[in-house]
Amino acid sequence: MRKTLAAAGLLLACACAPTSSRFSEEQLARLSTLAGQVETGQLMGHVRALTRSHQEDTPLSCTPVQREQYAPACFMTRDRARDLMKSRLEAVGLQVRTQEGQRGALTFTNLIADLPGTTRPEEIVLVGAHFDAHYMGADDNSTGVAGVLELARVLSQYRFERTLRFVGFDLEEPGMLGSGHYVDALGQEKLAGVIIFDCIGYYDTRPGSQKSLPGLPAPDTGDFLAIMGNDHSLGLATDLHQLNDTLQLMKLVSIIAPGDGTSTVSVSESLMRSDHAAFWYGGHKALFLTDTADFRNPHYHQATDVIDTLDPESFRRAVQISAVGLATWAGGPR
Amino acid sequence: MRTPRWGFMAALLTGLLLGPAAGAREPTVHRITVYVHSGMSLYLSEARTLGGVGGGLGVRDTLDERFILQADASYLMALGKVVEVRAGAGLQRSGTWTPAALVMLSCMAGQGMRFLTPTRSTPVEGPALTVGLQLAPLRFTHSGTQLSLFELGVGVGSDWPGRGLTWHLTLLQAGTTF
Repeated sequence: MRKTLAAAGLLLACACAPTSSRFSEEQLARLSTLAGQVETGQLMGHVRALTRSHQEDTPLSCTPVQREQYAPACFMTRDRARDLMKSRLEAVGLQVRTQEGQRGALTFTNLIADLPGTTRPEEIVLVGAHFDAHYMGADDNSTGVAGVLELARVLSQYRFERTLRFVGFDLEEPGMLGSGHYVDALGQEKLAGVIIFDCIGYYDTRPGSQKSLPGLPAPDTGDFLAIMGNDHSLGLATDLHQLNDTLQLMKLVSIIAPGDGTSTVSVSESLMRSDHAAFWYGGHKALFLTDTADFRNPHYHQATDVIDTLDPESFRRAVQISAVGLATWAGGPR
Repeated sequence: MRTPRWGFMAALLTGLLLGPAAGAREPTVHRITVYVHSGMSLYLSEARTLGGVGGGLGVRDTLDERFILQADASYLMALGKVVEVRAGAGLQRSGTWTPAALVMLSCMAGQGMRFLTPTRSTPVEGPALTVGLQLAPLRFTHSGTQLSLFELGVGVGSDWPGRGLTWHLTLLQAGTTF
């Protein structure tokens, strides 16, 4: 019933809002229905299970020097969260393969699950999130993993022209090891679009709750979803904004870095703090969706990053806008 | 005695009457200066941030040591690669210390940070145009050489809907006058 009401609400918003010529009425109606299937209960259930898995896991070993330099490094877990992500992807009927890698003393294992495309399966639309976390990691990054899992559940009910790929990246926190390895191993695979989730569940409507950097005109209130792109992925960001204009899902603010976005200027560096950076270095079209982490969330990399600090409704809307974007780029839904 | 007095008076009168008219008919003196400059420019609006640090070349025509017409081009880097072309007109003080004030038109084009917001869902395209004022308080001219330090400029433009501001700082400008 709630799903039907949500879909009806979205359809109404779609009908009332001005439509963009980029998307047909029929396509928007299908996308509205699809977005309406994203459920808060599912998302928060995943976050609850993931945070518990981090809490019960054994942290990776760390040295006294690491503890002194950055204490959260000694509270990083990933194994149980990876197992949970794998089992939940399989539970929606997807086959999951693993990709192993090693850098120095650190070994890592990415998870990859495909929903094969019908007419252009060689072209891939990817959504990914890292499953390693400091402490319980509710926002960072159980919300991102939960978003991927919910998208896998919703999108796997449809068929798309292109292949939809759901990825769990290992060891983002120590330096994007999993995503870097993944991009290096891509070979001839063609990525039509990439969304990376990292911290998508913390929102705050109070004035002054959002921090920014000089030259970046962020709102004063932390009630928006930020999209980081580069010149290559500007079209994807524009699509999300135009779809959002029509579907009226949530407040979006996009920051598009010049060129491939990999400038070493400090402002640009601050836009490269997650797994999308590996895709930018590889020249791929990738967007990073985030609540801006420590620019807003005081619990970032703290033991207080727990599920009660999240905003479930805004979290759901962030996943909804991602769902319609991914579905559009994948050539669907059918 | 009378003849010289009348002669002097006639010469003085002629000079007074004809002097200014004869001076106005003198051709305007143009001094062409080619200069290099380095510094930074930044354009900030709700839709984009352009600019960076860099330098370029310019040419200036100084008329009667008083009026200035100039144009320059800069290549800037940091937030992407940007070309800025500026044209200006203004006034300077005569002498060795030649501080100046100019009205500047600026056109900045190239890469930069762009922003999409709830009120702007498509990226702004095209160059950033601004008009503003530039002050050159530490500007010196001597023996065919011009040197200027720390020129400051501010301009305003439009990324409709919204306003853009340009900030300009010339660290060093050095030119040769022909």
